[in-house]
Amino acid sequence: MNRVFIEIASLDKLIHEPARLSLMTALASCKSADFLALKRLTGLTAGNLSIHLSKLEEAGLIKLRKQFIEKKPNTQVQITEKGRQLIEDHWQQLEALYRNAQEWLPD
Amino acid sequence: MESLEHTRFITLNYPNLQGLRTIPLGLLLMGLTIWANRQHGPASDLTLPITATLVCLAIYVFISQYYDRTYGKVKRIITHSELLISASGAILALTAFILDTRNVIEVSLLGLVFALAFVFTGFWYWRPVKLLLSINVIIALVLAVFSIFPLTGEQEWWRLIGCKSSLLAFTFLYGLSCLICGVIAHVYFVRSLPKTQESL
Repeated sequence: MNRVFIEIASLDKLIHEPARLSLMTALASCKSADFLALKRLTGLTAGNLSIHLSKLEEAGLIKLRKQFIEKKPNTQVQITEKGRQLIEDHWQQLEALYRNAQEWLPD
Repeated sequence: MESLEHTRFITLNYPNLQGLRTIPLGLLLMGLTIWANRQHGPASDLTLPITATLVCLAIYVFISQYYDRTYGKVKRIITHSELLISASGAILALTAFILDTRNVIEVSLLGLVFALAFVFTGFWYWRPVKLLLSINVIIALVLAVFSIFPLTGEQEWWRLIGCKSSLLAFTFLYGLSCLICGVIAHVYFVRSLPKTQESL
């Protein structure tokens, strides 16, 4: 199999999924963000965003902190060290893949 | 990749792009300049500037609440170099102000510091967005040109725009620039956020 396809197959599917990749990219670029900001940044609906955040939290890539501000529920989301490392590795993988794909010609 | 870069840029500058926050500062600076311009001798009644400051503070709080409730909050990562540059900028502005009030040299140092601030903001924060970068560079150029205007022989150019001194003129221009940049940044911010998708 060509190297490009091997690299595609080796991508971590948990964060390569477009919505989660976008979320992780946003979270890696800040200290923390609340639920509403992430909803605005990604364009996801509240339901979809909740599901993706739960998956990322289960994998230990983000931390969720639920609190009440002025009697309204507020969820703060922060990337973990593991999550930051994983997304940085993923970007490097994507960049390498992009370079290799440009060089690749079908047989 | 491009869309990820975009997400990264918007997140990095989330609070900075909420440009309406600078509107009260711009209005306050312009208002105070107009007020100071009408004074003859030392001001005895400070009711108007104090009230204006309080009103602008209230507007700032209102605008912040609007952003927090409509767009949510992102806590930025503030680097040491950013803090150092901000502190240096403040010291530089204070020094320029003192030197300008003493008329040490012909050019306006405060105007040049303001110009530098716009160049810095443009290249430090807005480099990936040509529109925002260009606006900052244009404003910086205008401020820089006005700063060195006395060298061309036009000693009191500020009188042409109805100001009593170069300090007042630059404060007014800085306030106006804050307004312009704020509105443009807000429009860019609102337009660059993705529309809500039903499923991804």
